[in-house]
Order: sequence, then structure tokens, then C-alpha cells
Amino acid sequence: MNVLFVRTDQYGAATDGGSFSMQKGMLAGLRNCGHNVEVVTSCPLPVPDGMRVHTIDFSPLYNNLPEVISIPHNWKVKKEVRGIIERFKPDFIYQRHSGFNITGALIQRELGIPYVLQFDGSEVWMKKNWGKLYFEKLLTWAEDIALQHATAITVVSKVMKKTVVQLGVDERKVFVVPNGVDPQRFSPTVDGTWVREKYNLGGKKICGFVGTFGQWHGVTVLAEAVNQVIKQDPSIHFLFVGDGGLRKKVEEILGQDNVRQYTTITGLVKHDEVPAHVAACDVVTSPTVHNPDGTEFFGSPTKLFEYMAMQKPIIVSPVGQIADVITDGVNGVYAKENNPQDLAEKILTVMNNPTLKTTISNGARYDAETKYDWNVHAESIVSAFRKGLEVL
Amino acid sequence: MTLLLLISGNPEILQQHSTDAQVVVVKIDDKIISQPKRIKQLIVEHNATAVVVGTKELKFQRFQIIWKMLFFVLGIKDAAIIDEAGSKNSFSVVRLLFVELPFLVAECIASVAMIAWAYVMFPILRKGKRA
Repeated sequence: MNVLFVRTDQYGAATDGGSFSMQKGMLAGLRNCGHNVEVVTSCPLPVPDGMRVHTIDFSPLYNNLPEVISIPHNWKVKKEVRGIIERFKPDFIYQRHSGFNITGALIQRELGIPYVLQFDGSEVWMKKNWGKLYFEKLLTWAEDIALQHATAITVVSKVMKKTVVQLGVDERKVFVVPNGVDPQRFSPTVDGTWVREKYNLGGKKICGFVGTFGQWHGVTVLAEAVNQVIKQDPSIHFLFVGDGGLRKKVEEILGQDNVRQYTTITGLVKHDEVPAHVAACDVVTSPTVHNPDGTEFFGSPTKLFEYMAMQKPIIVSPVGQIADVITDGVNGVYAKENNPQDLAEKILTVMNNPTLKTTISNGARYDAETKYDWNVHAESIVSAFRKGLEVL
Repeated sequence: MTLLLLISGNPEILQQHSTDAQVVVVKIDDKIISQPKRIKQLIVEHNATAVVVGTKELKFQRFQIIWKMLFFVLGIKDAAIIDEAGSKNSFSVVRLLFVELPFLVAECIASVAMIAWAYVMFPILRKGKRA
């Protein structure tokens, strides 16, 4: 099949974080499965080597006011993508959902090309909870337009599917496609020695965390757990890989608890270097928390699948999709959500139990290879498109 | 002392583009633009005589005129927005008043028209209401 991936939101030039690894993996997966893929974007987007990328720039006229920029861009993309479509003849467009983005719907209406919507979350909800929202009605309408015109909608979790169905979308055209991993790149054969040397970690027992320090990552819960772990076992060192909004808060907690010397915060690392950082750890954590407004965590953390593929013993809080992916004692260990005491206990338990470590890490690797390879993810998108056509 | 307000990009590379030998890097979220008092506080805190906003790629950095308005309001004379490649959008009061502010006015007019147009178009494209 010919698949045109369209991501035309204004996210700037930084391409750190799970959403970009996810896209690169998904695009590679589609290609590995024999599909022809081209990409349309408006900001720099990491893509697999050799993949054709078409850049449609934003108009410089709408660069200083919030939100408005995305509205005229829909029509600009629709106009400029016409030539690409005439040449490439995509079977379908795979469009990433973003605020005020109705490009897929406009193209579908004018050129008849069906599209699958990659819906990672309601922009209305995210802007209300994580940002500022100036034109709620317009954003709601735009989201409705994007959802209504899509042939199929892929979401990363059951929680998100429930949300989309609640927005009035036919359940039969919503498909859960969890994030995935490249098990060749994130492999237990990766050597993390240089990371240990770089941060002078020597032979310490390392408990790791990878993430962009976002609200839902639970990184402050891990920071609070450090003190309790160190009291029991001061030979454990914590490696926080990443940077982001909650870093300052994490540093404050570590400072107050006087445990800064038991931790290393790397700051942002290149995605290519993430496998070595995970390899340097003995145990890794994903202490994800529910949303601040009390709603259920709806994501599908890429890092979880990366940990699994690296064959690492994982401690997770069983929220949202994480509880579907990880089974306590089989491919990971559960710690209660938002509970530093329990998280500390579980870190100590796993760190000091070689049999448990081997069991859960082998289980994790097996699942990563068989269920969460990006190729499986990519085929699920194509399958969603086919099934979506049947619903029409 | 130059205060490098880092929105995105590599701080080491961005520091190399500064002419000042003494640079303090403060990582910020670009939403800080709505908090002029916080920016003023950072300038006073670091005793900065110059301010540089650092970004990975200038072309994709939004709100550049708003940043310059802030420099003007806060009385910062030596300021610029720079990127990793060394591109620089320098602050000048004359350019701000006679080129960039008129451009911003045009942007506001175009934006109002665009919003009004969207209020007409979106309901036409939308099929029915949310459940």
C-alpha cells in the first residue's frame, strides 16, 4: 500500500520525547512491512533513513499569536499536498491529530483520499488541563471534523478509545494500537558501560527512569522514593534520564531529602543514546500517575516498551494501559500509583531478588518481541484502515 | 553578564554564539512569555546586562515579536533571539517600532479575520453535534 503520513502541527524544532520515537518507529514499521511511505510535515521530523519528506512551511503572518496559526495552515496544506497526492497516489493518509488540524478531512472531501486519524488525545482536554485554550468552541468543532471524516481512528489505549466513543464516534471505527519498540535497537546486547563511566557510576546498583519529566510520568513520586530506598540500601544510585517541566520540582525534593548525591540527572539525551542509558540500569521504573484532574491516564508510554525490549526488570504503577501490558510478577512488578513508600519497597525487592529479576525481564523481552514490535504496530494501522472501510 | 534563556536546543552550542564570555543559562518553557515579572526577576537575579533567547532553530520559534516587545517594556537594550546554527534576530527599538509592531498589527487583523472565517466554515464542515 502507499501511505502518506501527514503531521503538520507547529511543535517547533525540538524533537525529543516519546511521540517522535513513536513516529519514527511506526514509519519504519510500515516500510518494513512492504508499504511505500512518504511524509508531509511542517516542522523538522525524524524519519527513517531514505524516507521521502515534503515540508510545507507555516505562513510567517501568523507567528505571534496563539492558536490561530493552525487554522489557515489546513488550507495551505490541502493546496500544496495535491501535487504529492497526484504523483504518489496514496491508498490512505495517516494523519496525526493536533489542535485545529482538519487537513485530512479537507483532503478527503476534495480529493476523496480516505484517512486514518492517529488520535493520541483530545486537544480540547489537553489544552484545558496542560495549556491555555482561547477558542474552545472552534477547537471542539475542529476535533469533531477530524474525527467525523476519518475512515478509521487509531488510539494508543483502551482508555482513549472510551474517550473517543464518548465524543460520539462509531465504536467500530476506533482501533487500539499500542505504542511499540524496535527490538533490534533496544536490545539486551546494548552495552551501557560508557554511560556508567560517563557518570562515574562504577559498579553501583542503578535504578533508572527515562522520560521528559511530564505531569503523568510520576517522576516526582520516584524522587520521593529515593530517600526511603537509600535508608535501606545506600549502594543504590538513581539515574534520571531526561529533562522537562518537573525537573526543578524533582531537584527540590532530592535537595530537601538531602539525597542529591545518590542521584544523577542526565538532562536530555539523544534518542540514539537512550538504549545505552537503559542498559546501564539494573532496574527501571515507570511510576506513571493518573491525570491531575482525576481522569484516567490515557497514554501508552514508549519508554515502557523500550524497557521491555532491553530485557530489564521493570517496576510500574498499573494505571491505564500499563496494567494491560504488564502483569505483576510475569513481565514486571506493580507498585501502587502515587505511593513513594510502596515504590521504594518494590525497588528494594526487585533489586535484591535475582530470580525475580530474571523472570520478569525475560517475560518483558518476550512480549516486546512478539507483541510490541513496530512492525506489529504498523500492520495494525493498515488493518484499522481496511476494517474502517468495511464500516463505511 | 549575558542571560541565556533557553527554550530549546543545545545550551553548549548556543553559548558559543554569544560574544560575552560570561553566560548564565536558564532553561525556560516558552509559556514564560506571559510572565514578564518572572523574566524581570531572572534578569535581576543574575545581574544580566544582556539577554539572549536561545532556540534550536529560529525559523520555527514563535512569538519573536512578542519577545522583543518584552525586551522593550523591560528596558533591555542588548537582546537577541539566536539559534544553534548561529542565526540571530537582534532587538532594536527602531526596528520594533517601525517594522515589527506594524507587522504585528497586520497579523492581529489577519487573525481576527481568520477566526471569523473559521466560525463560519467549521460548522459547515462539522456533521452534527457531540454526543
